[in-house]
Amino acid sequence: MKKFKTFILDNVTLIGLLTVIFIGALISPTFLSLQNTSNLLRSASIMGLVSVGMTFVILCGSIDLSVSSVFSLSCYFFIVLSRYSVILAILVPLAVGILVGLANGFLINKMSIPAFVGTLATMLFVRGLVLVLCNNVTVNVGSLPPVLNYIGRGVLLQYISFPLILFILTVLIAAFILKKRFIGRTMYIVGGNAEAAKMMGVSVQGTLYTAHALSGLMAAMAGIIFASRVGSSYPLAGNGYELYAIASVVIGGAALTGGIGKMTGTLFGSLIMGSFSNIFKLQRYIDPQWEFVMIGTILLAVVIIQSFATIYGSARRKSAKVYVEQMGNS
Amino acid sequence: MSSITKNFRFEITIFRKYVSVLALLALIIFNCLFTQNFVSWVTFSNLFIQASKVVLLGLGMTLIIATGGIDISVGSAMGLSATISAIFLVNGEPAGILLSLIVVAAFGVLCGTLVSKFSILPLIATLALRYILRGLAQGLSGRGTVTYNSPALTQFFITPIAGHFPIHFFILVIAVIIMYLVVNRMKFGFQVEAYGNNPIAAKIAGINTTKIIILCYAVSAIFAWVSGMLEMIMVSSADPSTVGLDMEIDAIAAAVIGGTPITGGYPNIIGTVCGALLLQLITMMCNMNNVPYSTALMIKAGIIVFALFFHGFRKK
Repeated sequence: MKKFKTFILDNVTLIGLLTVIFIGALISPTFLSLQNTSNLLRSASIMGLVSVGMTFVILCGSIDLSVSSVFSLSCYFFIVLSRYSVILAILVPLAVGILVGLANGFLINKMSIPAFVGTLATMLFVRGLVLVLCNNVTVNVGSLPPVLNYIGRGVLLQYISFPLILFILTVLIAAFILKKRFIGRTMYIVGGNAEAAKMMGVSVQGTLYTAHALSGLMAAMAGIIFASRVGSSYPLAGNGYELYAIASVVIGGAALTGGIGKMTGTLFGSLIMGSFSNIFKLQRYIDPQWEFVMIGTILLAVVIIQSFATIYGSARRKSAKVYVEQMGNS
Repeated sequence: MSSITKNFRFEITIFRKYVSVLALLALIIFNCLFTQNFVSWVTFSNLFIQASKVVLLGLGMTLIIATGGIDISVGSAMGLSATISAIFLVNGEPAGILLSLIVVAAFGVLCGTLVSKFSILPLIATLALRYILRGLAQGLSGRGTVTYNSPALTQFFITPIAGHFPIHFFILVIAVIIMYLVVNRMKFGFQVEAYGNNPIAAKIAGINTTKIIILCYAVSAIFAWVSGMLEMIMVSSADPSTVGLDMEIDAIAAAVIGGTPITGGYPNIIGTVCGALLLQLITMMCNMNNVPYSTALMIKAGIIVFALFFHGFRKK
């Protein structure tokens, strides 16, 4: 029984995802069709990649608001460079993403600016940069080279899209890093207690640099896929994605205070967000205008449940502590 | 500590407290010298009209940031209040404006309750409310802009008082004076500062922290309502998707440039006002000198970073 209870508590997000899928299947017969599932997974993987990067940052107890701007910057570089060279079109956006991430790390580490405003400033700056580069118009190239075209539109076995494969691979690698590699474990430690991490000899600044660079890299990767799928780059691409990604990570069970969270949680969280907006487009009962209200309500419900779980947990711990103190006094 | 270092430190604190005032003065002088047609009453009254929304939002944001929180739902609250009021005005019921105030304030109270009672992080609670309020505005309007016809109301707001002063100027001055007195002369302000500096100590000292937090978020929501009304009346319509979109970024920037520490502490009202005016002045300066909007964004980002660097905040 206890095992069952811990299993449920460990996999709340998965249960939530199954519930959403169940509701979707009830509401619309087309929801579970192969074509719809394939479309859903493809669009969810683009957002999911941003969320994977965000998970690293949130685990460290930091936050990255600049992902949306990095996303559109990488869209721009991808489209412009696709005319000249395939390799450059992929490498330059990724490098730029890492660079912006490192700049975020610099603001947070060396200038001791709180992550929220530091990355807010980067967001404004990069958004301005994109507008300057694009000259406020959508950048178009006639047709992409086949290799670049494949990144966003490629399909295996008719239904398995290439972005999905990239997303799954990334999640697997990210989960491996978090579970087995030194840098992944230090992220948990830094997020849990930065002071203690420093005393243990963990490089807090190095960890933050890595997490932010990874976040920038993932956002750039998502931007590349998006640009390849759309075939053009418009200056406001990805606007608001940072909040969407944060919501996915939080629904996945991560704590914004840092130190708590799993990559599988983020995977399920982004799938929940993706299926949810998909269901909303398929159904006819509620006006699509209300989608934001539903997303907000679900987010709120998840957070309130989490908060109750923590309050319940800390109450138990507190009572145990009081008990120990009483034992000590007597 | 010797008295010399004490004095030195005191001067540094004073300098930090008024960094934004100095920056604003410097920018005004720079513009007077180098920007053509800058020194005119029209420019200044435009500055006040355009900056009024950011200043008002910034006043509420200052309180919340001083408690160590953040509110990214104020822009959506603006949108909701404008939409509800516009819908009522279309139906010819001006009393609906009060109803929109009640609705938005209720959401502010809800937000404060979530933050204080359920100990949900402010960022995530207001993120959820940001979606909900924006979605409510869009859902209630039923697709698209709500345009009403009420020339009397618009005329009342456009007509300058005493020949020169736009009505925004008076709203701003009254709001700033009230907030300044509340923060610097009333118990509430000191309690907010105490909570921001050390929440646990404040609670132990007997401050009703729940009440403080809820009040802060409610005040911020009310200011969002006022700026939503200003925006709606200026254009006689409300577009639920764009009214107040991303205004919270400007408000946060204004408060942070003004010197309110983002980790919580002293709410610097005068600083916020100057910060908001500074941001608006930069936008205007860029417009008057034919600098594109994109460059203005980058300049804003640079100013935020340098302001933070000069204030020298340390992470908790």
